[in-house]
Amino acid sequence: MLSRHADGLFWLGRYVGRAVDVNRLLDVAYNAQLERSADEGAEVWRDLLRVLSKQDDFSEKHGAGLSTEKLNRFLVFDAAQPGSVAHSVRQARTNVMNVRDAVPIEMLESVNALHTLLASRALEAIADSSPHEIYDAVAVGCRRIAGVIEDGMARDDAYSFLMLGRTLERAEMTCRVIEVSASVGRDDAATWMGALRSLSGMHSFLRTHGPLASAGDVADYLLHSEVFPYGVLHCLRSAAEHLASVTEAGQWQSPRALGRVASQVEFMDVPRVDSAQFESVMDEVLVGIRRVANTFTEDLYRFGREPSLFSFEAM
Amino acid sequence: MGILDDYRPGPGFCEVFADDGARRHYQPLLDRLRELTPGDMEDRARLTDATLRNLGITFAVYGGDEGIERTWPIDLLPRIIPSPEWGMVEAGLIQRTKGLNTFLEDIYVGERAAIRDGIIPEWVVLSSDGFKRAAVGVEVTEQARCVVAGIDLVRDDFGVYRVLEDNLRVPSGVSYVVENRAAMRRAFPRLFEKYTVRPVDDYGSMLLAALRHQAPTHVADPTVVVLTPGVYNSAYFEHTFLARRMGVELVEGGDLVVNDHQVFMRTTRGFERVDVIYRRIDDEFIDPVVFNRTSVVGVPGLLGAIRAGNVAVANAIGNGVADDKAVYPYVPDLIKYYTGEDPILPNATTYVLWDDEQRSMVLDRIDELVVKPVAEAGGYGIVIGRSASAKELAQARKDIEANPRNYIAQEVVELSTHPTYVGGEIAARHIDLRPFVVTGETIKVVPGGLTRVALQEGSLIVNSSQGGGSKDTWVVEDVGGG
Repeated sequence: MLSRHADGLFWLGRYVGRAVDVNRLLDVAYNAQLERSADEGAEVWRDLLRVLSKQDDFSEKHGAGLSTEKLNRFLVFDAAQPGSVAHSVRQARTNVMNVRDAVPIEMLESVNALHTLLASRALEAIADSSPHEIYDAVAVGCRRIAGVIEDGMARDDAYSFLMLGRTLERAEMTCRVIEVSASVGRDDAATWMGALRSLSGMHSFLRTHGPLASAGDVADYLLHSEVFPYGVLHCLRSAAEHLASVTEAGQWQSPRALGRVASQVEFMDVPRVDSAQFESVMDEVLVGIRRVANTFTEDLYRFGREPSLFSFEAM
Repeated sequence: MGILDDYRPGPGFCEVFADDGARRHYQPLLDRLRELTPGDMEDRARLTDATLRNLGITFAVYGGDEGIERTWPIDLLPRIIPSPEWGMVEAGLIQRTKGLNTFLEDIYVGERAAIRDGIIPEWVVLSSDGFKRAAVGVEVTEQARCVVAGIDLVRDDFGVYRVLEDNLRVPSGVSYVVENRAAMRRAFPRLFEKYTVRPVDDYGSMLLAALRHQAPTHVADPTVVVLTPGVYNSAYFEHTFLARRMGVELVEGGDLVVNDHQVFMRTTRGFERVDVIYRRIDDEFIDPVVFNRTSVVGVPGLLGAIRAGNVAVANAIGNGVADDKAVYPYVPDLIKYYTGEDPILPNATTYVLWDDEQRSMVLDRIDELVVKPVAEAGGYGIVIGRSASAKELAQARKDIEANPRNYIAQEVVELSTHPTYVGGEIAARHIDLRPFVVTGETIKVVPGGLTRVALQEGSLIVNSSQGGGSKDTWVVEDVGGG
């Protein structure tokens, strides 16, 4: 596979993942703030912005007040805003264009359909009156893409590069949710249930741990569960498998970086979620995950940088 | 009802109606149209547009304010060519391509016999922008310097197919031939029941076979790639289409590297040798070491690899000499010279102004002819006699007399017209035809080709970048009944 294509597929996986995740976070936050007072509701939105590290960008564009309308404008429709659903979908689309001949045609079709949907006036028009309809429509569009990945792609290198991007994106998102939950909720059960819900993990958690579990149980589940698709360790292991399948042993640096952060997560003692130590541990994990992505990009373009290849005489 | 009741054929040859009624091969289409309401047509047009947009079948428009992409415009009424008529056109295209390839071979690796024998003046060949010294002596397999040709045809007032232009460098449009057909199958499935239409779907295998045939002889299982300038090129959709249909990689200049006169692509598992490059980049940009130094889309050192015989590039470098406007008037004579046959497809009647006799005739009749400068491209500097002012004509006369070698003149060709769905109704619009000719072990022609439509009433400009549309083009077996 061309290095440029591998790069595009990796980012396609990341952006598709990001669009799904941000949309789900919005959906959950929207529902959570409905039952609360205006002030508490604003807190919910503020936490969401913190998960995405978007507090400053938001206040710069929309001022201090927080509302569903503003949040949707900012995080769903604003294609110029990195991290928004529309931005992620647009980036996904650019990457599909660049790897168009390496993916099934249905991939382009499904990403384009979502892109068209987000750009349509019709969707923005219902944004204020029925936000859940937007989240549903976007979720359906994302599932169509996921279906193409699942059913339409051969399990070859292209698939692995895409999945590598998707799993790393998930691992990072789960870490961010854990970090923010710990800092705002400490051991408040409602916050942690919200965290589970925003990562589609509520149901599976309740089935294994029941509703009386502690904040620490949830944090442990989000980090270490073997069965939860958004579990950090689960994502990192899956990423490692995909990475191993596209490279010969010892050729690249990124598998080592990935192995390091995976074992860090696997063998860590989870500190109390309300301790300062917890925050610093999560920080380390996040840095480790980002290092994997950077090393991977370096690996991709290592070929062609060998000096022998640039010493050829220019005819 | 009847959405065709008010139809009035335009000026020029009408593809659908003869003086005594509809041509027989159009009858089933007309019958089907009579069953449709304007609303049906509109629904189908909208559906087709949405499908094409989601499939990313778009082209880039430079400098437009709508962003850079526009959906490929396809008209819902197919152009239909009966099989025997097509047989004649096909034979003419094969003959012309063979002749042009022989000419290119004669110029670049032969003894330039056509010049020696006085068929074409040496200065016409050597002064052409398309003539590339760097290509002299570069061998190709079986004279296929032009593996893919797009030869633009128009039909004159009598319905005679004439060649307006040869495109022997990087002709585009073939992907739209295939996608138009797919779109028509979705929009009018029942119409296909009434016709036997020759399929166009196997272009990928046709092209791949021809490209593999070009591989250096020592390579048993050649690696073929398509080279694109990138996602912002107006024909990027086509480049991805070709790579996908052939099952090969679509590379950009930066993906390739030349080492020791061998071409490699950078893959995630290291360097992989490349044997055949179907390039969709112009000569000038293909190798910054030899041609345009500022090119960032090319591959440094590529020409060295070609000359060393380690990689084949299709179409070959330097083909522009054979589709040059100044060479065009000589093409019928060249065909006769190389093949020994009379050309089947005539040119548009053309006069060369460096010939004294032809010049004096042109100067007499300048108000009814079209004068074209040979060096300019894109319609720049063309003087259309019947619509030019007296002052413009006087200037043209002066220019011709000062520099006769810079001009050719042509009789006006009125393009044929075809019913076309525009603005909710069916009206006559001018069309041309670009068939695609692929030279491999044998020469093959894609049945039909790309019919381009001038969507403005009375306009003769069919380019998609300037508001032109397209039609699916059907070559049909004999239609029974009447």
